[in-house]
Amino acid sequence: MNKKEERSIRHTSIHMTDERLSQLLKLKSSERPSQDFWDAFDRTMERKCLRELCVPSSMWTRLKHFLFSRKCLSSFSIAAAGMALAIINFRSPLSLPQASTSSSVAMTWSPSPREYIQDILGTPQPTKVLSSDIISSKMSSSRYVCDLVVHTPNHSCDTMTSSALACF
Amino acid sequence: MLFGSKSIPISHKEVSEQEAIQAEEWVWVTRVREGDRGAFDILIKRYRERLYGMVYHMMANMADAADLTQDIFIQAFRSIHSFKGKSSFFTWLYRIGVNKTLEYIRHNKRRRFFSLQAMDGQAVGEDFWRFTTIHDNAEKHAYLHELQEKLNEALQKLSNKHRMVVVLYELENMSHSEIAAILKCSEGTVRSRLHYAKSQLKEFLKEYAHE
Repeated sequence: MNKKEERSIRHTSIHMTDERLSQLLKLKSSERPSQDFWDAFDRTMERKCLRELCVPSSMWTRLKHFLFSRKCLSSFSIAAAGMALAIINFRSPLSLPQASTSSSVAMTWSPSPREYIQDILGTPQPTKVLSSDIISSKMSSSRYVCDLVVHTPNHSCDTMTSSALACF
Repeated sequence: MLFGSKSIPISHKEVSEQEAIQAEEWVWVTRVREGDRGAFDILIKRYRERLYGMVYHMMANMADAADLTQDIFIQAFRSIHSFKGKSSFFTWLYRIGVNKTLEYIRHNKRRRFFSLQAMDGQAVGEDFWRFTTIHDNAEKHAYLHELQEKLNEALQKLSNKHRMVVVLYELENMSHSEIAAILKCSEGTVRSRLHYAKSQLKEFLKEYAHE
């Protein structure tokens, strides 16, 4: 037997095995339920459908369905994200270096960084912060920069105006 | 068969047939949404055998499969409002069926016993016996019974995801793309799972390979 014939036989044998496997599996398709089975199936199905329609679902089931519904999950995630942002905003001043309590700036409201700087720059006694101070501080917070402005009376604020505002 | 054959490319005629079926299904779905229970009965009658077939072949237990098939229909009925019509109703229903079946199997790992349906001897066909040397009817019956058990054992040895692909492709005659849509994976994944599952099955059933 030459190599070509041998290869051909091997190929046929593999092909037959595939075909045979498909045939064997197709046998499973001939496992068919009888008509009696389907009659019983329909009766039970009817009962289950009626139960589904007639029996009102419990409060807990409805709540569960609502809680796990896509709409609820998406609104919950939006609310959670909003709350997380609010917490971060609320906590951020506490994590920064505290400004002196003797500060003349009374923080009774929470201005935006731009408003805060503009407000300080508008005061009658302008102060100055070297831009190197701002850069070396490695603090990106506007409040920290502004605190520097307020509590360093020997400097004027002219030089920092553009750089500080550019930060925002 | 409702969908295009897996071996023959889908023709324009078949595509228009599918579209017609989908349009008809949409009418029934709309009626169910409007509260028409009878419309849902029609959908049940239309798909119960195929859905039951898939569940049964996955579980190899008649009673459990019937129970689970009914639960799948109930689940579909409950969530019919979430059916957007992006896929066919059948694909959507099958997706629910596949998920529920896999979930059931996972939760009932230890409760596994076979309860098999009798094979329809007429449905086996003469072609099958071409490969065997059996001619006597009694022998054929005994052979089929033994083979049925071996087949079920072999299928149950496969992992759930591999068994599912074999059942959908070989027994439910679905195409790779239909299976991929139902299982929400790529066609390549379906092909690779099928290839692996078949090689496993060949190994399990090798004593029947050359009858």
